[in-house]
Order: sequence, then C-alpha cells, then structure tokens
Amino acid sequence: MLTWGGRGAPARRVRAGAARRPAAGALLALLLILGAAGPAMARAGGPDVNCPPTQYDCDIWDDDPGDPGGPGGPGGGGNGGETGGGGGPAAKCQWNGRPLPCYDEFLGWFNNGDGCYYKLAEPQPSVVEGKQWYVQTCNGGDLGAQDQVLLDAAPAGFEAPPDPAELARQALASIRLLPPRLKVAPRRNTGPGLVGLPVWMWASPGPNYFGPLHGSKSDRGLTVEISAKVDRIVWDMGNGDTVTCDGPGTPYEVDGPRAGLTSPDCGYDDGYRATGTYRISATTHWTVSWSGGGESQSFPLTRTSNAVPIEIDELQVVTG
Amino acid sequence: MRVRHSRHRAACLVVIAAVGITGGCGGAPENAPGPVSGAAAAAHPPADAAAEAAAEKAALAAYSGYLAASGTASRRGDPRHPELTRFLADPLLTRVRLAIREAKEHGAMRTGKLVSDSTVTSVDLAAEPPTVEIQDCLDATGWRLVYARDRKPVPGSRGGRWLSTATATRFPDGRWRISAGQTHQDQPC
Repeated sequence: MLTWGGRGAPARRVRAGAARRPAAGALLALLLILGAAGPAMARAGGPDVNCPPTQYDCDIWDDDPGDPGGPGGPGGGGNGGETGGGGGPAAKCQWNGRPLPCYDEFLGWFNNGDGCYYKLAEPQPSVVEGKQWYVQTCNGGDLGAQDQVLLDAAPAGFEAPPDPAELARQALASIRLLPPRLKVAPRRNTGPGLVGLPVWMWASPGPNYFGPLHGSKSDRGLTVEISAKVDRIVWDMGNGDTVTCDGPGTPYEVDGPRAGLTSPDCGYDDGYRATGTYRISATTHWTVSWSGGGESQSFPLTRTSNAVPIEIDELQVVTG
Repeated sequence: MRVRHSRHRAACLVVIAAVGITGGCGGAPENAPGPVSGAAAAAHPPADAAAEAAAEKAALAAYSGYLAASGTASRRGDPRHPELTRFLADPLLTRVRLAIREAKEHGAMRTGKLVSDSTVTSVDLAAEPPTVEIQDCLDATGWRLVYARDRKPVPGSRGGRWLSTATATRFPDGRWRISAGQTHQDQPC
C-alpha cells in the first residue's frame, strides 16, 4: 500500500526558476504595491460632531461598518467595505492613503489637493459678484471639519463627470476575491508522506475562491459591470517546484477509487525527492474584466494562501 | 445690530400681543419681510420692532417647517424629499440628508413624533445675511430610530428631552430657512 505511483495526470509541472509569465508577474507586483481599494469614508458623525435637532443620535452608526449590500456611497457609506484583500488599480481620489469616492451625492466633488469635498451651498446665502458659496467637508469627508466658504473659482475636480475606471475600482471593492484555502494529501490522518510518491493538492471551491464573481457600480446614470474569475492556481510546493492547475483540484479519499494513485487533475505526481517538512502555499490568478461608459478593460489580480506543512519521510522497503 | 433676548417660552404669542398681528402662530411660512438696513432700523425704532417681530415669526415658522419636513423625510428614508429645501439650508441641509441616508443604509428609519417648544433667543437683522437664533426644549422621547424590517429600536438609540439650538437665516429670495442646528444632549430640559 505504499504505491503512490502512476502517470497521466493533467497537472502541469514547472521547475523552479521557470516563471511562466515574467511580464505578467511584474505587473502583478506593481498592482499589489498600489495598494488596497476601498470606498469607505469617514463616518457621518465623529465624536466631535454635534447632531442636528431632529437626528440627535446621528453618531449611532460610528462603530458599525454598515450593510455591505446596501447602496454604495460614502457615509457610510461607505458603504461597501473593501474585503477582498486589496490589489487592483489605485484609487483616483485618496486622502492620507485612504481611497475615497471622487463624488458623493450629498457632499459633492472631492479635491485631491486639499482632501475636501465641495458642493455649492444650497441655496446661496448671499450674492457676491464673481464668487460662490460652497459647503466644504475636509479631512476626506469628516463632518467635524465642515464649513461654508466663499470661493472665486471652482475647486479642482469640481463637477467632474463620473469616471468608468473609478467606478470599476469601486465595483471591484464590492466583490470578495478570497485567498485559496488549501488541503493536501498525504497528511497525518491519511498516511505518511514518502519520498517519490504522489501528492494531491486541492482548494475549497466556490465563487469567492475561484469565481465567477460579478458586481456593478453606478454613478449619475453611468453603470460599470465587473466580473472576475480564476484562470489558474499555482501551487508552491515549498522546495522550489511549482505546479499549475486549472481548477480547485480533487479531494483525496483514503478509501476512494484513486487512493494511492495520482490526483486526476491537480497533483505533484513525482513527489518530493528528499525527506523533510515542506510548506505548501498556493496563489490564485484572477482575471478581472469591466465594461461601462463605452470603455472596457481587463487586468490580473492574485490572492495567496497561508502555508500548510507536509512531512515527507524516507521510503523504506518492507519485507515480510 | 440689535439682539433681543426673549425670556418667554411662547415667543410667538408675545409677538402677536405686542404688534397686533392676527392669525395663527407659525401659520404663514411665506411671510418674508423686505430688507431692513441697520441704519434705517436705528432711526425708526417702531419699524425695527415690527421687522424683528416679523422675522421672529417667519424664523419660527421655518423651524417648525424644518421639524415637519425632516420628520417626513426621516420616516420615508428619503434624503431628497422636496420639503427639505423649503425649510432647510446648508450646511444643516447636507447634515440632515447624510443622517437620513446613513440610517437608510443601515436598514433603519424613524418613527414617532417630536414635540417642540421653541423660542427666539436673539434677532440680528443687520447681519449679512440676517439671522434669528432659536432654542427649543425638544422632546424626542417618542422619536425613535428603528429597523425597517421589524420596527425594533436600533440599539443605543434612545430619545430624550434636550435643549436644541438652531439658526434661521434669511436668503436672497426673501425666505427664512434653518441653516444650522444642534442637539445638546448634555443639557436636558
């Protein structure tokens, strides 16, 4: 019962150093550096904010992230939180490294230069030749930093139309691209791992791990649709070898028809060449595509799992 | 600039007695007095008193209009309710809209009623724009934030009777609107 042999599994095996797509790899690294994407904005009422007479408890939601399925937008908006682990294009509007929507229905347009939202005061409290009153909400939308200011020119970004790429970023932040959850065999409960015998690898299936995921975001009549799916999962076997699979793989069953054989679709069929404890991890490679407003684009994203250990012992010939 | 402090709770009744205006208190929200310059007011004290009385009346009407409009918009979860712009102005208008939107995003709405007992504390018709300061012992004990799906109160939301202050401002169109307001939960009344 020590035969983990067999051939013919469709998994593609890649030796160390043979990066499959060096250009794509560099792009992915860049995208990861560009940071997390999330539309969460300052809560409507901070501790230093006095509530209006008719909304005496306006700060009640301060500790509540809100309903991620609810309408987008900041106040909460914030509504939708960034949950997918980051990646993707950088936010067009940011304050102190925090991505913000460039437009809010009630706060107006964001000025990247000073971190304030601006809307025309409604109505104008006085008519001043060549100037207009604006409601200015600074510190990235902090109501404790709200003021009414008289300006002789519109602030940067004021009345900018909705931007499809920016909406795509927000739509991406509304879907959950999760890192893969791994299982491998052999493990302690499925028998010892031995040098030269096949290893099975599989990951939890499901849309959040492999796609397809769909989302959309609308702003002032423009809607952007986004979809994301995993093209491949690359397993790092912890010894410099990688194995690329097309899907989540097949769970190993000790009493299944292929017990002791190779995985039908995702395995390290030749096994490890030396004893030791190896740390296996896997990275899912997503393709994110969006379209809207006459534009469309695709870009890659990755999610990497935690490592799981595998122990490989010396193969000993048992005679009896 | 003249600032008048009313010691009476029912300021509008005082106004009616002093100037002889007939009709319901706060019942004429469209009543908008014309511009009054500070110099002219000082030269003709009776006209000044009449203008102040009219301003107080219009300001209190705007305030009760604000409470009603905000109540309707909050119950419906509609931050774009058209009545809001009739009685409210920025920055308070934006604040009220944001609060309604945020409650809605959390699946919450308001029920019940607010009981107002408002008075004018000062009038400044020489300011640009002219303003009237209002205070109110606003009874919000029956004004609750509840979840729309089951009408259960949102944890942490509890009404009370607190001092509220508000500023009414006269706009170039002649209408008085409430442009600022706060609840002072540290001042029960």
